[in-house]
Amino acid sequence: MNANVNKVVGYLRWGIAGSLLLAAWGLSLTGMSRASDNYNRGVANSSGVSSPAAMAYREECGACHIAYPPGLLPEASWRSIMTTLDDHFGENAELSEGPVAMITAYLSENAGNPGRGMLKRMAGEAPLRITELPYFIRKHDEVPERLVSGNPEVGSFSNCNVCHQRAERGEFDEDTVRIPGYGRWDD
Amino acid sequence: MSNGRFAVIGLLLGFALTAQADVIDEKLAQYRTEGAQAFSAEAGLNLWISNHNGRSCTQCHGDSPQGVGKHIKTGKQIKPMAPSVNPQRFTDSDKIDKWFLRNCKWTLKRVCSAQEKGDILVWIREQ
Ligand code: HEC
Ligand code: HEC
Ligand code: HEC
Repeated sequence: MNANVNKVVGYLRWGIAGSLLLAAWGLSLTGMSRASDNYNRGVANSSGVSSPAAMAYREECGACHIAYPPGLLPEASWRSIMTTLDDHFGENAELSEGPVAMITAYLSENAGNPGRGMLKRMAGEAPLRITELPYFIRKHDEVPERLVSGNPEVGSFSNCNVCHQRAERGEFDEDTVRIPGYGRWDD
Repeated sequence: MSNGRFAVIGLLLGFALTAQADVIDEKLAQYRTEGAQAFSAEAGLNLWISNHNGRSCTQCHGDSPQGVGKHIKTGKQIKPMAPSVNPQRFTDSDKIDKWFLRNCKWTLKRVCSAQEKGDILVWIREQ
């Protein structure tokens, strides 16, 4: 296969993906309720099939850490993150324009609502980290540092999936928590 | 709508299975037009394993290209780089460009030359 064919197919891919994204957006406007306490909005639809935008998000934003469920941050936070990817928490996570536009649209559409769920006690703020949200800090203040930064298998709170087995699917219930080297969490 | 989705998924999978050899050859041809000379797998291996002021490709990709790596900052697993065990690798030209850019900047504090990128690809394709 030569370079030109690859290019054309590449454009085609984004083109198809873009139109599906628009269609999905239309559907979600009419069909979806804004749940407050689960964060799986936009992760997969009811038939379990991901939209191309969700696939692009998982591919591009799931390489270095899990693709955080979009409902964990408000739209303004996602927008700031998406415009500063060349300096992303000390890493370079640069992307070209096509994917940036598509992923920004996806994150905005599925972002959390300020004041609800993970974004309780917040209005108007746009933190760049989930781990700095007041609700996050309150929910984790009983987890001692030695089980996190002092634990080579965890490293930092940003690695949700190490403790929350179903994090990537937006599920954080206490009964799906298992801290490596510590075991099931019950309190 | 859902047919469209399956078509896209099918398209992506189809490429993953057939495109590897072509994509690597295509990149090598591109690097030659950018001034690279004959490629050396030995030089590629050298660049891959050497320590550049405390940083190295193997810090995230692991000591063996056939093994699973681990991102040095986030700890997330990185699938093997060797095409022999991971046929998904090196099947997308843009993806190769993107990660060479990011990872050379992080590891070497500079971009890699066309020669260096070609050396790494000819080494890794045999792994
Ligand atoms: C090149 C690797 C890389 C890529 C690609 C990447 N990130 Fe990150 N990201 C990081 C690192 C490193 C951190 C900081 C982790 C830590 O502090 O432990 C981070 C942290 C984050 C956080 C904050 C997590 C917290 O602590 O609450 C968010 C949100 C985030 N990234 C979103 C994204 C999005 C959206 C994308 C896709 C556009 C993306 N990331 C792509 C490396 C990456
Ligand atoms: C070191 C392990 C660990 C990591 C890493 C971690 N958590 Fe947790 N998380 C816990 C534990 C333990 C609890 C239960 C605390 C309690 O209520 O006693 C919890 C509770 C929660 C809850 C509340 C669940 C409920 O039903 O009340 C949410 C939401 C949550 N975590 C989200 C996250 C997100 C998002 C991340 C990543 C940005 C993350 N956690 C990273 C250990 C962890
Ligand atoms: C800080 C961590 C880190 C370091 C150091 C690193 N990489 Fe990577 N690299 C990644 C991640 C994450 C991916 C994406 C993995 C995936 O797609 O599963 C990646 C992917 C790649 C790819 C794309 C492979 C493909 O599927 O097409 C290439 C090429 C690559 N790295 C080369 C290098 C080279 C060369 C070096 C050293 C100069 C290096 N990397 C150092 C984290 C790193």
